[in-house]
Amino acid sequence: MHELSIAKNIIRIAGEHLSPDEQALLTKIRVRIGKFSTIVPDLLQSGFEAAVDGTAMENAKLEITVIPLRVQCNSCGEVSEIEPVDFTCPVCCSNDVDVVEGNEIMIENLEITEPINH
Amino acid sequence: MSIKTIERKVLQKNDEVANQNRSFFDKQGIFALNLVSSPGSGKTSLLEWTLKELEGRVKTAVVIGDVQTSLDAERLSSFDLPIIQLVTNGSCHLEAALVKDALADINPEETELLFIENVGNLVCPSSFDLGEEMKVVISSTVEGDDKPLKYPAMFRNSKVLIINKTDLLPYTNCDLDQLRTNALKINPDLTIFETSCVSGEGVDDWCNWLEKQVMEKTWKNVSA
Repeated sequence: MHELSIAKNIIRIAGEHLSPDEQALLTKIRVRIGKFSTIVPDLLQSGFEAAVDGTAMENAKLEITVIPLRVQCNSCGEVSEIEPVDFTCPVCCSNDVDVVEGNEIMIENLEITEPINH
Repeated sequence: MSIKTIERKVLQKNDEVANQNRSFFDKQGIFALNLVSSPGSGKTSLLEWTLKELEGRVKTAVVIGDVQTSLDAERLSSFDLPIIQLVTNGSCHLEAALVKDALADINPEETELLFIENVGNLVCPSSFDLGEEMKVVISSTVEGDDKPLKYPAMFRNSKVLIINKTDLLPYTNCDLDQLRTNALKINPDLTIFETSCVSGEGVDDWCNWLEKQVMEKTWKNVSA
């Protein structure tokens, strides 16, 4: 249940990158969450909604892209998508594999609407 | 509409402080371990046996993280070494900044080995680097043999697995071979120890290994 703490970090980082005017116009925060990162996307989503409420960025939505777990085999060199229950290369069955994707908890970009000029 | 590209790790701030902790450990020649497990697997009991076994052999300090209370620190208070209790006040894991604050209370000249006992939790602590040399995951026989499959990130991110409460094995459905197989399926590089904190069986193997790691770290520090 550290999703709330992750959500608070996302909001802090977004705030650091935006002026107060931009914060009010923020509509979307895009993040990439690896399948092997121990973050549950649904819990991150509700954590974010709770944490952003009442802040200058409360109109912002969180868009989560889940990144599959991929390993590169040190024997045959192939990169394969695996489930996190068996760290074996599906091509050659070697267990000498390195995780190349699926650990990330990354904030990708911020989407801001243009201010309405009266 | 405009897009502001950030491409930044959400936990970058924690990682930066963890790297400061790591530099501190490297500079001072301190071998730091992050002990992780579910609640009740015997982290504190194992520490009691370990501290007893290493008394007079390795200069040790302990940082203990708990959601509430200083009960664990009180349990270890009979040992003549620095025991620092961290209370997270609800948070399910230790973060690097908390550990950094605790480091102010240890004398690096008098420390070769630092145990950081994390909050009992097999999920969240795996995401937070504390600057440790390695994570040591403890899984007790009463938890069954499928924990590595259920909590793969923790077992994949650890270097050592200690299978604790081997004395209770006859009273459980835990198949020790299956537990090892499951753990090695997730992480074939795991070094595995088996311990009982009732009889003390296996504690000497673990402590001998630990002492060797500490000596290597100290030696690396001296030769650098």
